[in-house]
Amino acid sequence: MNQKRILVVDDEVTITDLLKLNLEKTGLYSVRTENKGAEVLDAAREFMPDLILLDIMMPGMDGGDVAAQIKSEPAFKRTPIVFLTAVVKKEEVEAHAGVIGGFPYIAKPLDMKGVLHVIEENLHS
Amino acid sequence: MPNQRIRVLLVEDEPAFAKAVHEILTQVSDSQCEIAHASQFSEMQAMLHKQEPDVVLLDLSLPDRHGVESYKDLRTLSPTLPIIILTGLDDETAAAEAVRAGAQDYLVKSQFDGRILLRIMRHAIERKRIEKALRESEEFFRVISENVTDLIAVVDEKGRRLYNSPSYRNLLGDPEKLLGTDSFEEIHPEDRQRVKQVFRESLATGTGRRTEYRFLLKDGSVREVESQGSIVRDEMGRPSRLVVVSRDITDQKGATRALRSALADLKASHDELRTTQQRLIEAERLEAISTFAAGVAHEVRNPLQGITLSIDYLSSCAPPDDANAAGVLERMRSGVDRINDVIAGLTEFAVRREPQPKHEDLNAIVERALKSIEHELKHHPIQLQLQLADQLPLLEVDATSLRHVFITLLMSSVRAISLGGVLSVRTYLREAEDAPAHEPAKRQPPRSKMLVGTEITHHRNPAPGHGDEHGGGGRRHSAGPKTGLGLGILRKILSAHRGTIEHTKEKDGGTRYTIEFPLDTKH
Repeated sequence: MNQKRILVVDDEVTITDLLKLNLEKTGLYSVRTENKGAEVLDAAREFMPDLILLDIMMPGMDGGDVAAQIKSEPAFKRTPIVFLTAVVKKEEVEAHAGVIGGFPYIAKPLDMKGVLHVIEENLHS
Repeated sequence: MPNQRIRVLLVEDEPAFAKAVHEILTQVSDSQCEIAHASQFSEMQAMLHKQEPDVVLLDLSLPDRHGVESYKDLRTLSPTLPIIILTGLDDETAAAEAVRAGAQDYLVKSQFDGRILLRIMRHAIERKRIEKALRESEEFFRVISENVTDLIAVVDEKGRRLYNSPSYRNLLGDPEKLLGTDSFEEIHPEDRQRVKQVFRESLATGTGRRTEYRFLLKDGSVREVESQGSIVRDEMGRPSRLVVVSRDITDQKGATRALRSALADLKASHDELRTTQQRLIEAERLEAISTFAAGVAHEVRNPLQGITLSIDYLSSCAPPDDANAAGVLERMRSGVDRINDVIAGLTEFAVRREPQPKHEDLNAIVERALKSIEHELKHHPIQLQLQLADQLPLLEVDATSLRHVFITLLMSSVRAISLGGVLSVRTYLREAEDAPAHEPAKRQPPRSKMLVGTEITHHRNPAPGHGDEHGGGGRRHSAGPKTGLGLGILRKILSAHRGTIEHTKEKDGGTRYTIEFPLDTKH
């Protein structure tokens, strides 16, 4: 089966590691993790992900800026980026129609059911 | 004055009678009478000024003036001069009329007797002198009584008015009309019995008293009065009259009342201010707690997220036929959900506030934090030692969150020594010992690293049975669980300002928190 490549970016190593474990356990994805906002673009060029999960709040780096940077590269024009955010509460997801700044997002705290659902939705859109 | 010389002005148109009077008087007075004679009224007028007589003997039937008119005209010319009327038998009526009008006496010419005349003259002069003295003393008294603003009254032993000074006019109307009236009548009914009692006691004891009461005036207005009574005794030494000197103190009382009420208002607003201040301080402490709570929420969120994802992973690994494992995992999940709810609540409770870094004075922040725990300090046997460094350079920090950190630390110290102890707070500027020497000098401009810091130290007073619990020897603890403080949370808050916090156990058993901020002084 052709595994989809997912780049998971969060400053918390625990979270990226566990997301990787969970996602790879499904057998559907191949995951690379990155904990430094500044390294994301390099990691993306190297890994060429099908989808990026990107923490919107990282120390010293704004997730929105990182996303814009990635999107400015022609190679990633069509690569879906999904924000991970604690700023928005779960109840507000509907109000935002699941989109912040034009990007879809998953509200923290994360649970795998929700994460998988959003990934699948955006991989096939 | 019986043997003093008497200057007599005799006004008589009959030369024979005048001569007779002259002779007789010279004889009986042993030449003590200096007699001048005028035979007409007009002549007398001129002589009045020349001789300045002590007494005038005036005949009522002069050629140029007649009857009682001549007396009246003379009286007008010289109001204080004693005048004795000389009259014939046929004109005694006119003489009597002159006496009623004020002449001292009269003599019927046919019943003339030198000794009697001399005596009458002496009496007349003496009476006039007394009258004059009396008038002068009355005048003196009148001038005083008309010019004092105090109210002076004399009442008899029944309280009837014998005299009221003109100053009573403003209060009770024309003082003349008050004569003989009841002096208690205008006193306010609520005060009347009491004043009567004071009056009776004054008479009984012979000692006047001071008292305050109110007048209820005819127009319904009320005046407040302060009175001092003095007893006047009769010839037998019995208290018979009371002199009452009073003052209208309505305005003074009003002013006192106004002052008292203003003072009461002031006290009320002061109390209110203090309550408000207390509330503000409490609010600020609550805010400090909420900042802390927000820090807690933030710190707990990530480990919790790890647990959630771990449970998700374990769920995917658990054998599908193991119902127990699924149950256990489900319980874990619901536990985590509950904690998440609590965290969400904490975040909700914490006021979301964007930090606003400005150039701030660390001393001012420390002082304001101390203000918030002032109440605690006052109510515990804690001695505060404050030592603020002079002229600390300003720090670019968010004063509110920094203050909250201080409040949290100070409250923790206060709790630790609530049974008695010393709390020392110190600010300072120092050069960093561990300045990064390895920095390549070429790339970076040389900088001397200065630190601005605050030390909060508490020492518990030695109590019986309490030794040095921790036996600490200057050990440094890096973080929180042992302190129960969540030092990690504070460290996180401080790191936003590039600040650090250290927790030290002193050799002498004290506990010290050291908060420091780097100060970059570029040369």
